[in-house]
Amino acid sequence: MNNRELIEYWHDAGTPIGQARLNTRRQFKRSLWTLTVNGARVLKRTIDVVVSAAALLALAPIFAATAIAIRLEGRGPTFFQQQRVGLRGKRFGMWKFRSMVVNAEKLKEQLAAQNEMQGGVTFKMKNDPRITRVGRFIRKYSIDELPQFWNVLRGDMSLVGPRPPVPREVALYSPEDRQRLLAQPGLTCFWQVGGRSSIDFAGQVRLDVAYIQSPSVWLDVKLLAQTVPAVLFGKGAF
Amino acid sequence: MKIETLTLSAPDFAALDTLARRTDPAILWPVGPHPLVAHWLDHAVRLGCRRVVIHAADRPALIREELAEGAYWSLEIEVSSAPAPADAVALLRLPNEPQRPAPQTAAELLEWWLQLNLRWLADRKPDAVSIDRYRDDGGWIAPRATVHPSATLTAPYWIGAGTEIGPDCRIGPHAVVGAGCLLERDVRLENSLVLSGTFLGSHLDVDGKIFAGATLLDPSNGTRVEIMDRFIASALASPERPSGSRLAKMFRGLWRSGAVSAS
Repeated sequence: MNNRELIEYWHDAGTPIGQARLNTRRQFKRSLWTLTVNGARVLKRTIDVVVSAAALLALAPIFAATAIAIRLEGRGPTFFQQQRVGLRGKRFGMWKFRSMVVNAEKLKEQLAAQNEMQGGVTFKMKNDPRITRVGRFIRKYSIDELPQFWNVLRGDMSLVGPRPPVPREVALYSPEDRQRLLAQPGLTCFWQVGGRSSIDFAGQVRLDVAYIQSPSVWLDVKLLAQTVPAVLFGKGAF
Repeated sequence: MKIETLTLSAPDFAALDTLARRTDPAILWPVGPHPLVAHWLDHAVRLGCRRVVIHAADRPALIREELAEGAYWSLEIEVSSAPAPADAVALLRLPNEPQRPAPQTAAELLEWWLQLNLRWLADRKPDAVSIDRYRDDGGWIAPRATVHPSATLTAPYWIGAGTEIGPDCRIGPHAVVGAGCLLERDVRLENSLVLSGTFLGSHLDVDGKIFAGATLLDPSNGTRVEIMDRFIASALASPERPSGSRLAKMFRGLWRSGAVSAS
């Protein structure tokens, strides 16, 4: 920018017509900026609502079959609502099909020593004795997670975002780990597609942070498309 | 050594804040992307604390509201308006910094705030996992921030989420630009803090200042300037005309007061 241009700019800014022109330009830029910033958020929420509503309708037969199988296997509720930690630490009830025995949470304390997840923040066991026969099948193909489309429709979750952790895990998080709470939790994210339970905790945090660093609707669409084969082949699920 | 409870003392700068005229107490003023107190709550998590007690005489209800009962940190947070005990840590600095004297004048208060931000920026470590991208030049850019290819960035700098840096801008060294700002063209920013949601028009040269929307604060001489020309500087977030929701609220208020009725 040379001095002449600068002088012309400020000279122009001193006249009523110049001021009106600059204010109009500011207003245009502001509108464009607002559209860019809010547009992506509105589009993401629109996709969440449309896809989750369509999924709840389309998957109704699978919901019915799963509910019958769970009821036939034993007593206890069909659905299971678990407290999860969402955006900025806000808690919400995440819906799942029940895949474990009724007193699973109590048994977890007894099994803590057998945790196979590195780092000890999250709890996973390959042959978890608490999982029922139907539960093993629905977990392998992530059918137990389907009721979470209801959470997406409600706005607790999004289709794509870091998986919501349980409060007990979050209590062990470092400030760096907590950054995964800075995005709306989702049904799927990088590590769900890339290896699910076989990725260690530090790797999960790294991938979640990488997602938050570069959010885009196109990335969400790609991750959703990659989730389908990962779920169908039961990659890394246990 | 694990500490069970961290006791913090929030300074009361309400009487001193004649320049920035903030609506929130000083511990909620932004230092980088988070309020000052949030840095201390992160510190409490690192120390393994389970409980944090904040003694605050200045607007404790706002602090309680902002911290949302510590949900993000999984901490039990108590905000008390009782006087702080002698061993409480005064929130005049960032964690891991030496103790600093409290500002005594309005200008010193601004300088204190600006320097907190600049020291936070200078002390950031690139090896920590962060949602802000660390760039090869030593600066940081938050998600969804965009920088025009012709803009020059000189570390250290931090550009907040969703901020747009226009053509020919020169950002840094020592520049903190909050989230959701729009810097138009050929803006030079050095040793300065721009608060979230600020629009800065073309050809501005800002050194050692704080910009908060249309308000320009100069800590060096304790001045406050309200800029009337919106194309020079203005707030992006404040509505410029009554929006639908504001009109609806106004109408509801009138309805309840009986000024408007169905008949």
